[in-house]
Amino acid sequence: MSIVIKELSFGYRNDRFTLKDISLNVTQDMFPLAIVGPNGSGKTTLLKNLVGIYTPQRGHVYIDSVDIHRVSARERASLVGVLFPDKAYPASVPVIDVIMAGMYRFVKPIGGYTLQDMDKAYTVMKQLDIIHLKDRLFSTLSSGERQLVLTAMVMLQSPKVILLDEPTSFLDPYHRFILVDIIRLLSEKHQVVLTSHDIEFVKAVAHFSVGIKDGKIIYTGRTDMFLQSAFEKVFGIPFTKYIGVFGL
Amino acid sequence: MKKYRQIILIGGGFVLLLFTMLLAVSYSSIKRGQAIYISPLLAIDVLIKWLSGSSLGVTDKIAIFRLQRVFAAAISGMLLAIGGTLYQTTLGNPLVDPYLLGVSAGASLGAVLSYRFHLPGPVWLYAFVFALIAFSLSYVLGRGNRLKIVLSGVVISSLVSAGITLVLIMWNDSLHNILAWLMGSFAMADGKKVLLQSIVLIFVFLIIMATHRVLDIMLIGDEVAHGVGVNVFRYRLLYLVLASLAAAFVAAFYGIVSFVGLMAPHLARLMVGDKHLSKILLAMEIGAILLVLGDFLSRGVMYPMEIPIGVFTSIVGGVFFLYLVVRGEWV
Repeated sequence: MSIVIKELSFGYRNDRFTLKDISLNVTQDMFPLAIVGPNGSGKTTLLKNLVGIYTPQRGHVYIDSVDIHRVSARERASLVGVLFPDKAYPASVPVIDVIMAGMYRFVKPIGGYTLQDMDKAYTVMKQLDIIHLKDRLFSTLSSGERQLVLTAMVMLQSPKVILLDEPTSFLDPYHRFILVDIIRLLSEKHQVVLTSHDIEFVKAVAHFSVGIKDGKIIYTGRTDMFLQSAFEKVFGIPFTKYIGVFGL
Repeated sequence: MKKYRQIILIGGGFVLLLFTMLLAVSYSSIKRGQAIYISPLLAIDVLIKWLSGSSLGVTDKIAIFRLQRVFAAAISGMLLAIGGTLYQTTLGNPLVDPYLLGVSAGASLGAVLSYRFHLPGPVWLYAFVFALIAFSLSYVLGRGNRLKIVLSGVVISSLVSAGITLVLIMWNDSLHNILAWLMGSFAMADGKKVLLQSIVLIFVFLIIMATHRVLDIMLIGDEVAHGVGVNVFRYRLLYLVLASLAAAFVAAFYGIVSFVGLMAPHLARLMVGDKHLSKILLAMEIGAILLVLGDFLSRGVMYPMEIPIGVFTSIVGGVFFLYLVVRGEWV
């Protein structure tokens, strides 16, 4: 299981790149991996390139040697899935329907879900302890509950790699706390990559980190080493000063 | 429990629609005794006679005229409701519909040009092409912002309406005719138009019913849909073309009918939620009821004079739009 990013450049406009010539080799032992950087550094942009929402102007992304920008949408969904907790519109649809969206890559657009599909959904809901939400409307959930529902969806989808974009934003301490367990749960069957600037959280869940600033990778390695050696370069404050105020 | 509620609402909507249609066929004026009354049984009888090609009396012919009008209004309402729902879902914007995006105006201009210059090929083809052009303009100019796209759509709509007026005035059309195009009117309904509209309605309806789950997923968000393996680009293109097709087949024949595509999906959503299978069915019924009732009133309130249908839909729809804006539905 590996992710290889090869000389990737991406810009919202053709004349200015947000991501500049990024190369990265993520091997099996580096998951869960955190992509860490300040606001506007290009973390989310990189994530969107990894899942194919954006197509890079130059370069490639390979997951297990498959170029994810050159396969069908369904095939791509078997390799990589994504959780954008704050990008989901709170539609008035039952939670179970949102979760079943994870089955999309297995079923034809025409045709329904089988009983086995439903069984899978129940297993996942049980693991996340959200069975009681199944008949509620997605629009009536709190942001923490919504994130759990989307997590169930992506677990049903069961891609090799699961990307999480800023998973702790908008979460109260309770949901932020159980998210650590959820990432461990996800890591049992999938490889997890998350973007964050929530440094305490990153330290708790990710062994390896990629430090990104102004669209360039400036650190790749263990998270504890990142804090000591690259924190200041990425965030612009000495790490000792930061923990002097917030602790860790 | 929830399922029953939806079935009752959709079934009830269907019954109400049939009732409204019968009412509109039976009476042409709300003042009693001013016009011919046609009983529902007679209407059905005449319909069978007409379809089997038997000769018709005067009353029969009046019945046929009314039937065509009523069906034209009902099918147009359904098409606009579908168009509005598809635009709202695929653009992730609850404030759009064929009228506000300038699509209806664009299609009307295409149709007016085709009529006036006797262009080769069917009228609806020009309407469809112009609908797509108008949509593309609004979309490109208003990209990235929910209110911007509505603003561009409204501006394009008013520019195109000016074009329609100009073309019609230069060719010495009557004021009544100009109003009919700008504000919509079902006075021009005939059997052929009803048939063409029905074919398009069935075509569009079958495609969206077969893929209604994709619409549900796309409503939650493009990123989510993309993530689970939906080819978002391809489906969005499909739905936007279908929405424009639906809107074009109303505007090509009956002019600019405003706001129905906005109101119908919202009212349906309030009743059955966002699941497209039930939302679209109910929205179609609501759209049809709104237009059949609107057309009935437009024939009836100032009988024997006719008021363009857009007068009614604009009054109701305009207030509804303001309500959505004030309530902050666009945030």
